[in-house]
Amino acid sequence: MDETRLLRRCRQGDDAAFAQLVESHKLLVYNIVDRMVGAEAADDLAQEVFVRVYQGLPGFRGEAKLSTWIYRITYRLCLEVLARRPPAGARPALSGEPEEDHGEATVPVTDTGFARVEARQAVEQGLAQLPPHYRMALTLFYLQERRYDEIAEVMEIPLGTVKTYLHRARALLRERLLALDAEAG
Amino acid sequence: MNCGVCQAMLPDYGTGVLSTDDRLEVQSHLTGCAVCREHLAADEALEVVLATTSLRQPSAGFTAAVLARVQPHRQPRPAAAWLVPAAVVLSTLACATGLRRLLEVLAWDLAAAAWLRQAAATLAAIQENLRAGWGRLPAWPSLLAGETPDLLWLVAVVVTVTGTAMWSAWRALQRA
Repeated sequence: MDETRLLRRCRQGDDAAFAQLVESHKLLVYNIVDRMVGAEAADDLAQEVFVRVYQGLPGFRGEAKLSTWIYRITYRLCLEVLARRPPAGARPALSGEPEEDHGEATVPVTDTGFARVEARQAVEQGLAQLPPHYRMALTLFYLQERRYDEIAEVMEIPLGTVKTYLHRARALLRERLLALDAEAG
Repeated sequence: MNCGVCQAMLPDYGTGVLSTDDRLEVQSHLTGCAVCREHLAADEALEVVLATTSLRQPSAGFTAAVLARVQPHRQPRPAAAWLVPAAVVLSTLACATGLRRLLEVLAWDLAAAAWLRQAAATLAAIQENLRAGWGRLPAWPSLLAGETPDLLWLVAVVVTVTGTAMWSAWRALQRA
């Protein structure tokens, strides 16, 4: 079903159509929330995103792509949640390594020299400490297949600002990895 | 090229978007600078971590939970939504009545062909049946019986046709 028909049926109260909309976007919404505010509340908050999408359907005029609009709602909700939290903030856990591997013997990445598990942990901790807008830009960059214009649209910022956020986010994370390497060396 | 410039260009160097000249300059600097090589290694490790992070799955009953959560927010179907089908039915009746009166005028006043008089009689029969069904509304049969001036019926036909055309055009524009 194309997006226009899907939206029309959702507005008419078609549960099957709304379920299809949720199924199409839940994976990325969940992972954005997971990386922005942490795994503990990700499921609940991701559901809340779709409640807000449902409530906002009558007013959605199609000025942006449906996915852009949904991710924008996701971003705003994450900012609200983070604003209510104490400064220690979220500790999102990156997937990619099983939990039980943390702290065990590291496996070197042969071409970079950085141990993979330790690098992942360092990046994970670094992500949690990034300002929310840097974190969001970085998350969208790797989830949105590197589309700067879509990131700019979701976050409602200029294209140049997206590049600045990404550059600074990488710089901060790189410093963390270099510090890790200095400690190990 | 100094270290500051080189390190600023390393992310683009790693993704291959630098121009050939810039790339050669960075390579040349890296050859002689261990610090920048360390930065490049960190950039590459960072890229590996971020790009290979797999997606997590939401809970198994996620969609069902969302549907349950939106139920209290469901809006009752607005009454206005029934106005469109009602308007279509009334417009059709008005149009049919107007056509009938028009055919009667043509048949009687212009001594037109027998088929016109037959069409008018057929429509009149349909209208009689409708009036029988609407017997509870005394105002309606009097309208159907022709006590209303002909002009009003002609206006009804024009309004119906024009309204239908405008609505169709609007819907076509929406789809476009």
